[in-house]
Amino acid sequence: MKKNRKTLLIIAFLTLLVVLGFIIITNKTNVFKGLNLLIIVIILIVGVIAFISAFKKDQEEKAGLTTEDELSNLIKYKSGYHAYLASMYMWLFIFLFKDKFPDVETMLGGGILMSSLIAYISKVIVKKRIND
Amino acid sequence: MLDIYNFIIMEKFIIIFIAVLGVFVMFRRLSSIKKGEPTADELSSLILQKASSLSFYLSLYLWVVLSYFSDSLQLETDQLIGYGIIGMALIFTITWSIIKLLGLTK
Repeated sequence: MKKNRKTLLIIAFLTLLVVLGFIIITNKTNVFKGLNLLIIVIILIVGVIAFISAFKKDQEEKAGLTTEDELSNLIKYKSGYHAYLASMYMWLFIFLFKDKFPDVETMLGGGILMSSLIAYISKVIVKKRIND
Repeated sequence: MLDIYNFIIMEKFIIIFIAVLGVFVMFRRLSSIKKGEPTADELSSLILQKASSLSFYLSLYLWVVLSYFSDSLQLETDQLIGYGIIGMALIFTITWSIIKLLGLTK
């Protein structure tokens, strides 16, 4: 089995595992309400994004294209740089609005998921800017 | 009691270290401006981008570790976030220093 195929399977399995784990932790109650719904939506979005990017890489490898070049590295570094700065501000905002969260685990988990979403958004923006 | 005392000293040390580093960077930039040199070139901005990109991914793991040990650490919420933010800054300082010393590699 190719490396990318393995990655696809692992991502799909991990996303399902995280969603199931979250449902079990919340005891199947209030899963689709308020902050819990937002967390589950972010988990699914991150999973789908990871799956699509792994699928794209697999297709590129099949077509005989290189999966990583100088431009993709530059996009990775630039988006990481913007994501780092944005996530710093995000944690600062979480610090300011810490009373709005029900517990510490939800707050930190939400922050981590938001960070990954920020990373994806900054990657899309940097890619768009470079292509333009 | 001694552990808490050491913890507070360590926290103060890290904050002072980051502040001193910031002052050092500021003085270096000021001296570059005085000499008429550019404060940031292509290489330095690439080092900065690579270091912050790497530290972003590493800091995600830091938050996961903090989340895992949040119960056993028994810290206040603002302390926990404060340590996380200081940790992020520290990770960036370390990665930036390593990349600056070792140079950029593919």
